[in-house]
Amino acid sequence: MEPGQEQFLKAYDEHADALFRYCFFKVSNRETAKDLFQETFAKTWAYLQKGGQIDNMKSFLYRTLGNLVIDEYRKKKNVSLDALAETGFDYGTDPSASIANQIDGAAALKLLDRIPDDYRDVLFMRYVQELSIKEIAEITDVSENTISVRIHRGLEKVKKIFSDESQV
Amino acid sequence: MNKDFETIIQEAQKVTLTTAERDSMRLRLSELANIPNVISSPYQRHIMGNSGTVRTLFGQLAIFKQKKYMPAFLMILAMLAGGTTAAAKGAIPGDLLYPVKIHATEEVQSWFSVGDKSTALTAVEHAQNRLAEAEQLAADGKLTTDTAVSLEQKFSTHADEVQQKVATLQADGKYSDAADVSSDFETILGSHQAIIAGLAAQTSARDSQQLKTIARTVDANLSVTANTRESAEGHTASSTKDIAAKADEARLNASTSIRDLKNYIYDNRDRFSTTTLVQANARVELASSTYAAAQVKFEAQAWGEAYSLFRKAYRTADETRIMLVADAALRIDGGSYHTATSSEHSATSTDDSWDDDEATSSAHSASTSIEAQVRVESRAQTGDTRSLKTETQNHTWFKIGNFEF
Repeated sequence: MEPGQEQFLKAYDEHADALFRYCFFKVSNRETAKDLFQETFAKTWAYLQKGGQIDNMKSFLYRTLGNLVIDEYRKKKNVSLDALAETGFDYGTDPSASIANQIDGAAALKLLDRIPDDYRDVLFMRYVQELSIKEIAEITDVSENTISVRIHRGLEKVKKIFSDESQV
Repeated sequence: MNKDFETIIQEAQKVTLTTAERDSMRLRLSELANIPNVISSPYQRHIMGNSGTVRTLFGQLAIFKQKKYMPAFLMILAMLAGGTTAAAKGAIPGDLLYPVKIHATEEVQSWFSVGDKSTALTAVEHAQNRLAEAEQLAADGKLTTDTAVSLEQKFSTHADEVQQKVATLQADGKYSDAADVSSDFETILGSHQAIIAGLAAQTSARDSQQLKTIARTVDANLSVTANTRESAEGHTASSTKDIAAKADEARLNASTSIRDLKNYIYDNRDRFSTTTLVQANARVELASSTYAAAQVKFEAQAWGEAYSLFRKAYRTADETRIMLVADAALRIDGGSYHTATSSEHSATSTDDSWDDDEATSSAHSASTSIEAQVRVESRAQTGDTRSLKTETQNHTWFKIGNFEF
């Protein structure tokens, strides 16, 4: 196997689950997430085939996926919590029950929608994807300092949102 | 950290592909990636992979889903060829594997093309292959008369097939499909018209003369295709019920193409001369301003006009990328923008008196004014009537990512 092929498949093995999870977080639909996920790797392979150099594969994949997600947003609406309720999940109907008893992974991702836009992405990347501040900065093209501030403020918001809920 | 938030994080981390999904996709991707990358020249690799690259990759995925009957001998040939087929992808006339490319690769592609649109797009790809082969040979100083004539004839055959399929699509009322194919073909012809002109200016007299043979056919087809595309787009705009959706789709495609072009320029900036970069960015600006004009129409719900303008922006960006690939790979000094005008295409002169001096003169004078030319037009599209003198007095910066001119 040639080095480019090896690099490519290694990237898939290392980052497939994380990328898919990020994609699902963004588009809230499993089939759409799979399509975009697959297209991300196809575009990456096409780029390598054309002689493109990729210094940081993880950042490249995230940025490529991010662009595809933006394109998808323009085409389709996200699944709303209302639509999620139609599938049988209805967070909040029993305030006394803990979140742990109510949710699964997909619903957990949807719950993160309650966090304001400015903070949601960075919190997801930091805590769900376990990316470093430096990696998040590189992917989002924002300074590390800004990322740190957003995480800090985001956590403050999270405390308020979810502690308010638990006190209902 | 808040306990509920921690729970959410833990649950969210459990979202993954299933084992079957992961393995299935890995298999598909590894089958694509397993095509050996033994390409005879970077230009062949770029051009062969350029026309709808992702489409090509998914076209191969589609192979596993299609159930069209295929002559047994072709199927066996494809299976046995395997890596040889892939290695032949970049072969040019004179190479040992060139017959494999034509008969095993391209004929197999044709067999797997189902429907008029798919067949037409395959023919577009093959037509581009012939042009790329001629350009590579000319760049290497190896374009003989016989080879040029042969490539020109094969190109004509593919081009005729494209035109016939487009006519069929239009006759069937499939104007949107006809517009798509025509637009793709026009993009390819337009960019290669410019590439050939650029090469002719710097290759030997013999190769330049051979390129003239091919250039005439490209010009003729470009003129026909541009007209067809305009007609098909017009029909689409006026007769398609979901023209708003079509305009939105065109908007998306244009946006993606311009973004991809900017990324391509930025990622490969070290490979281009300053002249090429300036010209490329002028075309980025042109594509962007066309896009902006389209956006105005879109917001005013003038769907038909928006549709056409977005597609124009898309073509400008795509052509530019093809030309940049050629510039880098074939080392065309000063960029291939000599005859690529900012307005839609018109055939260049097919006068037999076209000679090296004329090509060189045309190339050089055009390259010095291209930036001014596209600035004037891009401003005109947005209603800006400031004179060029004012424009050039105020230094204009282009910014692509972190790279400024």
